[in-house]
Amino acid sequence: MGSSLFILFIIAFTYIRFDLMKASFLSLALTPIYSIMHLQLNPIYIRAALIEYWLASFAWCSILVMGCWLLFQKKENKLIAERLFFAISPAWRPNRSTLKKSTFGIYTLSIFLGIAVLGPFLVPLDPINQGDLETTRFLAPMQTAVAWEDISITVPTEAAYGSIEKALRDANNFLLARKVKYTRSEQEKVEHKEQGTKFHVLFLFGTDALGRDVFSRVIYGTRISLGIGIIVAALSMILGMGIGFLSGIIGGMLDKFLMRVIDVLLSLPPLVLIISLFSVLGGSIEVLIIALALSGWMGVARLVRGEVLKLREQEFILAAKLLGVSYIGIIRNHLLPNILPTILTASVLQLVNSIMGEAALSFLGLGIQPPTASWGNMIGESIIYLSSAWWIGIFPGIALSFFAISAQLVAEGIQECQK
Amino acid sequence: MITYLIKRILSAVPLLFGLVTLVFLITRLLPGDPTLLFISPKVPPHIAAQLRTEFGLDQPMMVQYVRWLAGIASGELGFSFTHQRAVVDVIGNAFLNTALLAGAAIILEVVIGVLIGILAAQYRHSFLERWISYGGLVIYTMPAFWVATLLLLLFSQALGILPSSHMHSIGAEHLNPFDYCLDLLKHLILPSLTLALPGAAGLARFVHTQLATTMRQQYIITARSFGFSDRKILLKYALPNALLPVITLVGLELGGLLSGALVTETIFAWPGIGRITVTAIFARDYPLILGCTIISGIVVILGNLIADVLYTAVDPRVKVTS
Repeated sequence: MGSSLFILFIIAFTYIRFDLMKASFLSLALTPIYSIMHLQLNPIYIRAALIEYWLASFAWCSILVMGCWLLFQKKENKLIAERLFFAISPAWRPNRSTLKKSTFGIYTLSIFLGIAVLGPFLVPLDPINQGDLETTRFLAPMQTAVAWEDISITVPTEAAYGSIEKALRDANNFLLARKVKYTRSEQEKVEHKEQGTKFHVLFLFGTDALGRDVFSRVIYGTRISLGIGIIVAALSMILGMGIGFLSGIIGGMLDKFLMRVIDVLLSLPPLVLIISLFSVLGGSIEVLIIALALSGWMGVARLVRGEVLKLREQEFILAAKLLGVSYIGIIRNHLLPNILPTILTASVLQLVNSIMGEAALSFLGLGIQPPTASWGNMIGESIIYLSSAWWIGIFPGIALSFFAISAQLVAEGIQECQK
Repeated sequence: MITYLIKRILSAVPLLFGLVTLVFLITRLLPGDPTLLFISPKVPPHIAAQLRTEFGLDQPMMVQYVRWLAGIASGELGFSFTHQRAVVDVIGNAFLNTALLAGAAIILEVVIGVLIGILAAQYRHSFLERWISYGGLVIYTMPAFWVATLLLLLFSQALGILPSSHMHSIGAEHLNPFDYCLDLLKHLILPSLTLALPGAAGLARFVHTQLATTMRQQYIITARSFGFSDRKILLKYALPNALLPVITLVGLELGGLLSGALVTETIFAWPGIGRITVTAIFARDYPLILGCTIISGIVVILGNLIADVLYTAVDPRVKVTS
């Protein structure tokens, strides 16, 4: 498993063209500033790219963490790892079998993250380029076609990145760089020779109804689905933990009121709540994220409140209170370390839930809109072609399943650490 | 018992009240007011103002809120633009179909889930148990639309034995009653399986762990030392105790299912509440969307209520504490 991650990196680095990397990283660094400046003025395509860059920054951090984790797998480093975990949480005492059980999950999750981050380097074709419809629609998996690189869209190599906007535009061109033209007959060859170079394209997962490469779309779908999932999970965890701590520590009337509010919100089925918010606020990626986050925090808040109530009555909290430690101090030094495993489990499950919620909405046609690929809308588009082309929906579905299973395994692993 | 019942029912009233208030707040989250949704900008301002007065939107917020409450209390949920009928009528028709689907799904779920859970618990530390738990994990994490895609591929495309959508075949109303029911049953299998499978996998995992812990209890060891057969121990002593929490689980699930399975009903074109909600969203039929939201909330609250009451009715230990 570790070696497959390594191979993934090797593939990535053989693909890398440093000029492209420059554009990509420059925009990665500048996008947050840019987004604060002009969020409302952005054209839609920049907003989609924006999500991707946020994801990239999240994922680079996670890859660093995972890298450390891999490092600690070596025997001589194991002691350091265990010390580190104890430093994070005294309640967390992992044993070897538990670590083994969730190892599969952690590797799979890290591979997904790797795919998401390195997406542009991994896709053989542009995920939204339709190509020549007659030649390339409904190609079965593993079929090849002859393609011509379109010379009209080339990535500027020696461009001076004077302004933020230009850097972003270049980065966006880079995302769409691999636009290709397909030919059916050999006679067209001469004409195309003048335009670009010829190469064979392998459609690993086949093509969909519009001739788009399913493999590239699955990879780009990973970026979108994971990006939205991570942002939503982070937002709802923050909201849920905040409200959970508030009502658990302060208690009294506030606690009663907040719990009634949670009861009311939980009495609506989650999808209905999301959809009614979504239909009222209007549909865009930001609203999708807000609606998913607003409908996902209640479970976390209840969980955190329950844990806080359990701990609040214990002597060490009382002692801290008598010593005059502030609420913030109690939360930071006494409560948080003790409920960290619970929070970690909840956040992994929250990630799965938000990805499933996004997928379900996109499946119904309410979430991510079609030219942009996400796992959910790919499966949704595939339903009408089930009789002729099974491969359109199967591959994103497998990706979705794999992701959910590995996240579940990780969550169960952390849960067992508590016992 | 009766005082508990009354207390429990009364505790659902503030929930219903909060639900209705929440839906009212959602409609008022809009910038501007609800008439902007169906009045085009081309409508002259004096006509728009007249419409606002007609709908009572020029009244202060509190008056609107009280009117809204009074409307809901008298069973008035508004008028659907797309169906050109009262929202209550539209939902009422769909509710029967949803109830049929939900009932079938719950029965399938409980039967499959409990049987597989018992099987896994009976053959502990064996090949079978391990594969049941792996398979259960895979199916449990599948979202409905993915299960539906796989089932459609298998049963309706590859094998071609089950219809892929709708509630009846074309011309089913001319069949004799027996064939009519058979036709309905055929159409019912795939959607109810889609709803039941992930739930059944979760239930099997739950029953498995519950039975495993129950089998370690002292009274089971006592029964075994009396020389009772394994079958009797399982069916008479272990199972009833292990299955008690299942009632709560199923009750919660039933509430969710009766409020409409949005995705499943859309895939299989099942004319229930879920499908009506989705079509209402695409048609921007706001009274219908809000009506469906309120109905789903009410059904879920009632489901929780029934689950709680059933649990106390079945388990004599809970009665004492209440």
